[in-house]
Amino acid sequence: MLKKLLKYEFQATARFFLPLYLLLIVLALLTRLTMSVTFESNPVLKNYLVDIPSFLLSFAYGAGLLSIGLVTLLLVVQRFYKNLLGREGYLMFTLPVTPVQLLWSKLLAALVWAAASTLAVIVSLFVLFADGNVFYLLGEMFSSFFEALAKEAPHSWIVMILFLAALIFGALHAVLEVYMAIVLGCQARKNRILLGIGVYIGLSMAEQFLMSIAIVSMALMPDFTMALLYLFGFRQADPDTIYAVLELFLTGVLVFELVIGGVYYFVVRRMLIHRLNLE
Amino acid sequence: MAWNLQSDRPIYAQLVEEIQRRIVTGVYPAGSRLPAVRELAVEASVNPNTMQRALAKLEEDGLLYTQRTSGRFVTEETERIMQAKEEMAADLIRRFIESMGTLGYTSEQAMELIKKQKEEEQCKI
Amino acid sequence: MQNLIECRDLVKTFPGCQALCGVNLQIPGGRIVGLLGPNGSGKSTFLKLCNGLLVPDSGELLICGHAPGVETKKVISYLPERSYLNDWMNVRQMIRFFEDFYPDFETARAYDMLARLSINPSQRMKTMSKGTREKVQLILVMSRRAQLYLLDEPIGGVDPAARDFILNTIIGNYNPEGSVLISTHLIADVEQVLDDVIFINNGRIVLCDSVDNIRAQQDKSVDMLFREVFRC
Repeated sequence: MLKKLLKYEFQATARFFLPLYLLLIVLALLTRLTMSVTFESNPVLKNYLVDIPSFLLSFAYGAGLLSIGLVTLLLVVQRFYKNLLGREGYLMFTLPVTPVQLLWSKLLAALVWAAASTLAVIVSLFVLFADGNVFYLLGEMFSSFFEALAKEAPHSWIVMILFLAALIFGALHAVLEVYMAIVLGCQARKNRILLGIGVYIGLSMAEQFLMSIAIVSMALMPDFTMALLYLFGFRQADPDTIYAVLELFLTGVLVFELVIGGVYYFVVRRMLIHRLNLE
Repeated sequence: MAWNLQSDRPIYAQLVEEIQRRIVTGVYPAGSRLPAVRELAVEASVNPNTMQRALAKLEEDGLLYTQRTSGRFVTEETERIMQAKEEMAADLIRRFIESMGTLGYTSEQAMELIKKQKEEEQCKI
Repeated sequence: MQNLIECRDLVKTFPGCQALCGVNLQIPGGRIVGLLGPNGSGKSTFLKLCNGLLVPDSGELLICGHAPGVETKKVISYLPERSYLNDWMNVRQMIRFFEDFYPDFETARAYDMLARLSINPSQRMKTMSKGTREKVQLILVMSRRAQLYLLDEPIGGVDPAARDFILNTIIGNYNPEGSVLISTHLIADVEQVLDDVIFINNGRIVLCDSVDNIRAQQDKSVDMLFREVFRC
């Protein structure tokens, strides 16, 4: 059933994202084309035919980048608020599925779209800027990266995996934080959206506070400062210590994401199961 | 054809009467097959259970019979239908006389009135 | 036979008002039941509780022997009083959606009913008139072979022709082993399709009887009885 829910979730969201991705890439392509046109023989004509459109297009491209971020955020909110807690919730919550399956269908789709949006932005940047040189540099970077990865195994792998896990759980945590704000906001009878935004700001502030405590306590560890100095090239240090510190730091981040994300997950889940009160 | 159902008497009884009327007037001829319960219920806009009960009552009375595989039929015994018709007529007359009674007429006076009205109508033609 | 709905001392309060106060009710299979009461009497609340869209404060509610959950949602076909379909979908997509999630959905029957109303399956929900959208919702709900049909105000605010269509669709399509529960305040319009009626007022059951019983014993229509019981 989760598969079916996901199918319809992607159907409902793809009709916004896919055209937007396409638009972004087309805009990047056009911007690049106008930038590469040379029209030196007639400066006045060049101004009208190339420079102005080029400026407008790059402006549109920038707006496209911004709107991808906005649409991603907006759809995360809208698919949860409108489709589950609004009038469409009558359809979704009377399907023979559990509230937990509904939650995961929204969560996974949001995660996939966040990744896809990032990918679309990267692709459009390539379209805009990439030439042989860039690809060559990137190739170099990747090969030295994988070399280092192989040379310093298993530490390098552990750090990689920790980093990726922190990234994924960080994204889940971010989406769940939005859901949490919506679910709590909907407990009110009036001013739901306002309350939701308030809850969201409150949660973010509480997290910031926790995070700064964590970072300060980490910074108090001498090894950590040393590792930072090393990372920024100020000092030589023993790689084992660096890795140990990096692992510790990433584990700390991961645990933070897991704990906060987990709390949000269980609260949202509990609310959907036990406190669902559709208007 | 409309099923005119009144709102203050049991629907079930009204359905029995209406179907009986349709049988004796030949809308559902002797030996013919009746539409399915669900169809009749939709046609009359009534509950299928109620329609079912009305049909069962008529079956009990011998106006309908069921063949297990092919459905429900009007009886082939025309005498039974005639008898039903007479019963209905008798019922109508009884109610007419009763109503006339409430206006203060005896049954003889009522009959006189019927004759008089019939003659007047014939004169008009 | 097991009751389709069985509820004991069901209580539901909203902030500032008690929607249901101790409802006891049994609904067996094979009946068409009217849940009748004035606006705000708790009809919708009861149906939402049966669907698991609200959570009761106390009391017990069993649908075919189960508390509301995945098992009960499989056997209930629910028509909310508001429009609830995804309005960016067209009718065909909506039918596929129902078919995908409900194994008891009969696609051919749905298309048949649409054809009879000459509704174009490629039309989007968003572009439909309110009346057409309501008919499509009813068609989707009645195309299932469900155990229990819960219809919330199916004839609220429609013209007489549409009302006849709706009532005929209900009696022509429901699963005869199942039961239909119709909530409404327009009693005169529905009473001839009902087996039983439940009067509800201020969150309490006032009366439970069969329509023919009421008519035979009281010599009046359910509508008239309703007006007497709920006289302001």
